[in-house]
Amino acid sequence: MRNTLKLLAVLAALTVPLAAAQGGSDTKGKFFFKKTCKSCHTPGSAAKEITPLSKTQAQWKAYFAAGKHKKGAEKLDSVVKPEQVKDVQTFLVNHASDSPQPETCGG
Amino acid sequence: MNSRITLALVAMLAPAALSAQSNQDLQKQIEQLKVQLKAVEEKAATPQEIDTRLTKVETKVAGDNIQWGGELRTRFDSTQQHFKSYNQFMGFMQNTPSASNPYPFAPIAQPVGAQDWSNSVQWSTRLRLNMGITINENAKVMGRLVMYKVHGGADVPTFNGTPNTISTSFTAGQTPATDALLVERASLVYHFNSVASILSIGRQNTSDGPPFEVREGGERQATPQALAVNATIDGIGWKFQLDKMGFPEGTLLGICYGVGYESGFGGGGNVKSNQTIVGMNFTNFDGTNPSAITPVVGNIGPLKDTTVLGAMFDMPLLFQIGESVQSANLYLGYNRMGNMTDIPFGNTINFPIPGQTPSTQYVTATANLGDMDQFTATWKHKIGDTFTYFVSGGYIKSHPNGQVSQYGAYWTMPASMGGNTVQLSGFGGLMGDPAKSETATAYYAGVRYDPTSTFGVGVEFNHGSPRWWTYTPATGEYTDKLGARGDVWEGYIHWKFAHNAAIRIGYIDYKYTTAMSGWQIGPSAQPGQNWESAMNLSNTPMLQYAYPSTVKNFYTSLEVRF
Repeated sequence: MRNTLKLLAVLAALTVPLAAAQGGSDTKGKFFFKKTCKSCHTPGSAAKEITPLSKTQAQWKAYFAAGKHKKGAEKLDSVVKPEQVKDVQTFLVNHASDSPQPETCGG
Repeated sequence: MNSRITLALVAMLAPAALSAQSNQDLQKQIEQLKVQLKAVEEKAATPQEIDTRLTKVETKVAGDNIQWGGELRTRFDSTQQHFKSYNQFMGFMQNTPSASNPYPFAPIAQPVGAQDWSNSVQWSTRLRLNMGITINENAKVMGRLVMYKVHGGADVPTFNGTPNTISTSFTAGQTPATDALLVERASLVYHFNSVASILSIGRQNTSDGPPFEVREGGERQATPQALAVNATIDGIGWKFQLDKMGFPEGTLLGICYGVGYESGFGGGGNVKSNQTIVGMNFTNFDGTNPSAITPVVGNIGPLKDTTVLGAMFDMPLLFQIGESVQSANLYLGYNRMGNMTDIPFGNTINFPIPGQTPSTQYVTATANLGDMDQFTATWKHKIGDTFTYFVSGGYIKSHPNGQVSQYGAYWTMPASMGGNTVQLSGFGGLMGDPAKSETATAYYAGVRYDPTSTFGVGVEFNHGSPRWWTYTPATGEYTDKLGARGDVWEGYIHWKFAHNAAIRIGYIDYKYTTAMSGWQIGPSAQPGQNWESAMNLSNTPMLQYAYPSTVKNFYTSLEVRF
C-alpha cells in the first residue's frame, strides 16, 4: 500500500510539467458566466434565457470566434472582460447540448 | 456669314450631339439599374430560400426529440483474495447420546483453514445509453439503459454468500450480469414554474451519486449520496428550488418515496399465515426423553411492502477568493426504511448441493424484520480546476421487530447451557440482532489532483464499522466498496488521451474486519459471545459461507463517452 501511494505521488509530480496552458478554466467560466451573463439572460427576460444547453459545441465556438454580442451590435469583450472570455467559452463548450456532460447553469 | 452658318450648324447639331451623349449616359444608367434590379430580385428570393431551409431544419429537429449519449467501458481486473480460517456450519447429523452429548442430534461444523484465491484475468464490458426525450419546455423523460457483462461470465451467478451474487433489479448495471440491456433509469421529470420545483416519477437516478463524480471525472450523476444509496430504486422524488428564499442558486430541498419490496404483486401477498420448522428445541430434553424434543417453528405470513421515505438537502456554492474561483457542495440526506425484509426478489445458482446438479434458485423475502434510519452528509470542495477533496459520513440505526429471516437454522439450548435459542447458521435479524436496536457508522474521504484538464490522480479511503450496511451490493468482488465492514484504499490515474476517451488505471485494497459486508441482516452471536467478536474474521467465526479478509484488486479500463 505504501509503495502504491509512493508511486502515485511520483506520477503526480511528473505530471506537473504537463500543466501547460490547456485553454480556459471550466470552474472560472461557470462563475463568470453566472456573474456576468446570467444577470441579463434569465428566464422571462428580454435578453432571453441562455444556458450551456442553448447551443452545440460548434455553435458556441463559432459564437466566440465572431466575438460579437447583441446580434453584432457590440463586441463581446465589452460585456465580458477579455481575460474572462476564454474561461466562459470553455465552460459553455464543455457543457453544450451535444457534449458528454451537458448541464444547465443552475445545476 | 460663316459664323452664322456655324452657329446655325451648331444649333442644329448640338441637340443631336447632346442627345447622343445623354443616350449613352442613359444607357449606362439603364444598364446599372438593370444590374441593381437583378441584385434586388436575388435578395428578395433569398428569404424565401432561407425560409424553406429553416422549415426543413425545424421539421427535422422537431422529429428528433430524443437525445442520446452514453459511455462504453472495457475493463480488465486482476484480483487476489485471502480468507482466514473459520468454522463452516454443515448441518445436523444423527448422534448417539453420550455423556459428552446427550442429544440425538449434533450440529456439524467443519474447520476450514486459511486459503488464498486468485482471479488474475477478468475482462468486462459495460455499455451505458443515456437518453433524454423532450416532451415540452417543462417535461422530459430521462433514462439510462445499461449492459454490464463479464467476458464469459455467468448470466446468473453462483451464490457465494455475498449479496452481489443474487441477481435483482436493484443491482441493474451496478454488478456484472447478463448481456441484456437493462433499464437502470427511466423517469418523467417535470419542472413546475408556479412552485419552483422538480418532480420525478419512475426509476430514479439513484446510482453513482456524490461524491463518486470526483473519481469519475465528470458531473454528478444521482440525487442520493453514494454512501447512502448506490442501487436502482423505483419511486417518486420532489425537489424544491430555494433560490428565491435567499439560498445560493441551485439549492434544493427534496423528499422522496420509494418501494424496496412489493409484497403484493409477485410477492405472495395472499399467502395465508403458515408455519415451517426452522430448528429443534432441546430445552426439556434430559437425554432419556426424546419426546420432549420439540420443533422450533417459524411463522410465514403475509408480508408488508418495504418502503423508503427520505429527505435531502443540496447546496452548491460558487465563490471567488482572490484570483481563485472555487466551488463547493454540501449534501445532507435522511432515509427511513420501513418493514425491511431479508432478501428481495432475485435469482441465483445454489451450488454445490450434495447429490444434485446446479440449477437456478429463486429467492424472495421471508419476513419483515423492522425499520432502519439512515443519515448521511457529504462536503465536496473544488479549488480552481486542479484540486478537489471530499469527506462523507454515514450513520445507521436499526429498529428490529423480533423477527428473523427464515433462511437459517436455529437450535434452542437446554437450560443447563443457557436456554437461549442459538442460531447456528443463516441470515438472522436486522443488523445481526432481532431484538435490540443496533447502530453503525462509516466515513469516506478522498482527494483528486488534476494538473491539466486531461490528466488526474486520486486517492480515496473509506471505513465501515462492524455492523455497517449501505444500500449497495458490496463486497470485494468488483462492486461498490462503500459497503465494506473494514478499511478500503483506492488509488487511480485518469488520463483523457483523446476527445471523449480516457484510460483509467487503479488499485483497490480491501481489509475486511467483519463477515457479511453488504448485508443488512446477520446471524446472532452465540450465547456468551459478543457479536462483533463472534463475526470478526480473525476469531474463526461460525459461518455458512466464506468471506475474504483481504482483497487486492488491480484494474485498468478504457472509457469512451459520446
